[in-house]
Amino acid sequence: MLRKSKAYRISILALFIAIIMVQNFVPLFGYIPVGPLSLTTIHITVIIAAVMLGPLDGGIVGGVWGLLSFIRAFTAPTSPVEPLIFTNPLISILPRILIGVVAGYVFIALTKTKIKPVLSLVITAVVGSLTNALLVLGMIAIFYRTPAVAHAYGVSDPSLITKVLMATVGTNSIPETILAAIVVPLICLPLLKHRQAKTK
Amino acid sequence: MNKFIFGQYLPGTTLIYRLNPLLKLITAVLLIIASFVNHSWIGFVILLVICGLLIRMSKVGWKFFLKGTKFFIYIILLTSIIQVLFSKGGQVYWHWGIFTISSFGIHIATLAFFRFLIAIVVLTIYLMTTDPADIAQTIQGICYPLKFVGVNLDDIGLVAAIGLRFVPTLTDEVTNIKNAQKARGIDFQKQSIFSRIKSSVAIFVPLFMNVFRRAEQLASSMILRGYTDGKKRTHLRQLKWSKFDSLALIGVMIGFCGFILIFCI
Repeated sequence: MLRKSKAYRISILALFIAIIMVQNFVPLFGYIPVGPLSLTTIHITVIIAAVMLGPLDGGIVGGVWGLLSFIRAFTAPTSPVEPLIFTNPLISILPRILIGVVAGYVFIALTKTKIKPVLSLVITAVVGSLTNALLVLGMIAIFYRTPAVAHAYGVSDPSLITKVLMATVGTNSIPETILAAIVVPLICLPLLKHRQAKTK
Repeated sequence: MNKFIFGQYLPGTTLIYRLNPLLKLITAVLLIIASFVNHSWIGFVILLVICGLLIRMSKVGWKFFLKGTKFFIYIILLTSIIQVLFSKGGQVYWHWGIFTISSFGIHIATLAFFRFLIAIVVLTIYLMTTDPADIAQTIQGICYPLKFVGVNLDDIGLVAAIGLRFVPTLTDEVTNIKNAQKARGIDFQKQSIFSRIKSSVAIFVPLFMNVFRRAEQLASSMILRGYTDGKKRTHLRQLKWSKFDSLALIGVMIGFCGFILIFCI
């Protein structure tokens, strides 16, 4: 009963947002700096929110992350590239909202099939992480073929930026995706079982 | 206690604390916009003097303030050094391999440095002098247009208030979990990416388990205290918009427009 009440929905949503804020502003917890970009762990929180609370709340949690990284790009950058890129709301906010929405709907679609829960959680995590990675890097490729960003990545020629972005997919997005694929099932599986046991 | 004080609220009674939080937010945003569109040195001097006055007025103390923002100032400095080394154009002073120091690069980097410095100072002052409960109500106020798409504003206010309230609690919890896992022999100092991924799993699993338990406790205590659907909520602390706030808003607006007219056009 408790888990169906509005009070529960509000408090769990608020706590997820609090986790996002902690991850954004406590150094070395939400972001692990590796080279010019930083490896993030925040998408895991968003994917878990999307799986446990649905696409709408997942989108809200993702939106809070986007908004915070937008504000942070102006005020408290963690890496040299950040102020150049994330000051554009299309790069900082939109992909993050979509992680929650996409992951939420993918999980709902997968629960209707006969795929085992573990596997469907892994797929959801991978799809969610890739949504973020591809949209952010794709948007960077579209908007920022300028010398300043290329220099921050350590390239002198702007046309090389696409190659650098491909390298970023390798160094950042793949570890991020693997991390999500490991952590999301570990956390969501017991919680989902717990929830099913209570509603029966 | 955590040494990290960025955005931590410090209770106080000076003039800045008594201003309406919405007014403070507007002022902060306008100051940041002004520093981002500004291109002249006199403009930056004026903005820095304003920032200095604000720190003085808030009476948080320079030492404490510097301790809180030091980490970010290093990062901003690093960013501008990288920009100096990699930008080309104008007169070239020094050249070695891919590194170049040129007049254009120095100009761009100093501009960027002052912009981010002003932004971080303004945001820190805002967060230090505004009670989280007031920030939550301000967020609710900003989200007012969403009312017309059928969103319940009181829900937004409540979510924001609970979220901000739990940030310090969860920060402490992360520290506790980290220490507990260190005591069990997990190494957080390893440099390779995969060992870092492994060690972050050890933080995430207990953290989320605790969060779900906390949410259940919070929900049951909310229901026990008579929370039903959150409609027609009343507030213990009413935010007041005084005459002084209106005057201050007019002053800020005039100052902002004047600044833009003089230095940016």
